[in-house]
Amino acid sequence: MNELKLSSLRRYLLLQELMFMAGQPAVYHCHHFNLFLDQTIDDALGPVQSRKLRTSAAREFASRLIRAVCERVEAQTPPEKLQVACQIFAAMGHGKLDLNADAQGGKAKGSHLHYGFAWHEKYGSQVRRRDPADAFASGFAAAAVEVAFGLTLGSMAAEERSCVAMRASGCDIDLTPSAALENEGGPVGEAESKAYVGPPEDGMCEELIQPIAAGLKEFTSGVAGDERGLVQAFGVFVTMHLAGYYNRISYDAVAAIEQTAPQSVGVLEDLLRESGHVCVFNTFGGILVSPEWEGLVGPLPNDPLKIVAFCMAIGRALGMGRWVIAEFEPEKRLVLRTSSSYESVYYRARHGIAKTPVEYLFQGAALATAQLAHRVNWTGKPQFTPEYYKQLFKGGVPWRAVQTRAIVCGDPISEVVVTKIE
Amino acid sequence: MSRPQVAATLELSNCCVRELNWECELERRELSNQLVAALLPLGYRASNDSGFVVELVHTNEHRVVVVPRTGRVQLRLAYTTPQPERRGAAEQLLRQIVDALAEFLAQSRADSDSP
Repeated sequence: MNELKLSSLRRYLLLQELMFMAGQPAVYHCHHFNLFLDQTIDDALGPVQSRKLRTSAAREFASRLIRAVCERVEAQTPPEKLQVACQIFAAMGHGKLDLNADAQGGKAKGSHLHYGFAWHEKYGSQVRRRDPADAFASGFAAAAVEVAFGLTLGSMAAEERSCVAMRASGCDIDLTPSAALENEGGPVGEAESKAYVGPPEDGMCEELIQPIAAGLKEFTSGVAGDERGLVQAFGVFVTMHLAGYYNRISYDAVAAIEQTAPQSVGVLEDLLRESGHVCVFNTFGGILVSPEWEGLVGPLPNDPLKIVAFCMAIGRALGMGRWVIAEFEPEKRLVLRTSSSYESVYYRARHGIAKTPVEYLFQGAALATAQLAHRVNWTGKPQFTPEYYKQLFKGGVPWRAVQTRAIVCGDPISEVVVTKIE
Repeated sequence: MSRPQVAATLELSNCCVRELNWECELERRELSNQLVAALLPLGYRASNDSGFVVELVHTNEHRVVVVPRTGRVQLRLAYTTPQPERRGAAEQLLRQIVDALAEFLAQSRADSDSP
């Protein structure tokens, strides 16, 4: 078996800024987004149905990833494949998994699992959680055993029995044989990504954006999980995550609510947009005030256009797509476009043409970019705390974002127009 | 010969985890150039050689990040540090930095004064 090296498995689709891990669509997201999105699915479907969907989505896309990585490093025996799965899980910043299982099942022991650990850090002192947080790790563990022993997708059930988010000392996942086999959905890989992107275009400030994005990509190529399988970079806990996981839980949850409570679809969509808003405001904001950013780019100016440009560079480096600034009028209007997004690739590959623009992350991201540009005093050492977020947005967001063009609807590019509410 | 005085203040820094990151504001920011050399003998090793930041990590997992172009110094506590102990740990780390720099400057002065 060859040595597993994360950086050699990562690549970007040229000029489209979509990222792949061993050919599987991947993207960097921090715990703010991860926790908010999982919570959104919980709120929409209830904890039991949500956990089922999140575990299933994790299983499906982890299975593709583990198979692809095993092939590349030539892991052949079950122990080798289990070892590769645990290594890749930790390298991507999801924590440490110890798998003690065979084709008849077994146990997965997790320590510092990203979701449970981050939830405990963020909310543990204020909220008592009643359901385990690590559906992603559970699905990943099940997929690892299925791949290692050549089992069919879904033949290993995974249930987290104890979780640090529920104030347990560790996370324990039971793996048991199951008859509830799952169908693997249609492919969403590099080929589909190439098929569902538009012609790449440049926007304003490219001379600023492109070198910064390149510098950030180079920096993140050396970032991998520490000895506990966590990644701390730019002052945030980062994961390299499977885009398919985010997409499937989002779009399947919307589909489920359309069936059971169609009157609530709008609320769910708002929350999915809010997850993008939370992501960009907190994570991009945190990156901008980090020492790494100051070293790479320099101290931050109170210049809204430059802040927007910086956000475009961050979005590209994290694998979110070729975000460009199409128009900018300070304090009035911001138009962002992209020829690529992990959301649109997935949606077109799995669902075809959408009736309405459903690129929720891009919509929320555009709105948050306008907030970072106009409402944060960058020379005043801002701190992106939950209190600051509440203070800024408790009365709503004084800007409006409307997606005017969408790859998911068949347009060649996606576009979001953000305007200040007068 | 009197030992050189080094002054620095501690201020909470942005972090997605409460009280884990702290800004160490050196009264003379140019001293940050000597910080790496001052800390290496104390059990720190460089964990990031990206060129635009220098990150030193101690065996106790606390980290010191230096931005060479601006002299900014950030302290990153080990994320395993219990929440109630974080402020105290940051203050202790600040004292270590100030002492290490003072010691390093004294030694440098002694070396340059020796015939």
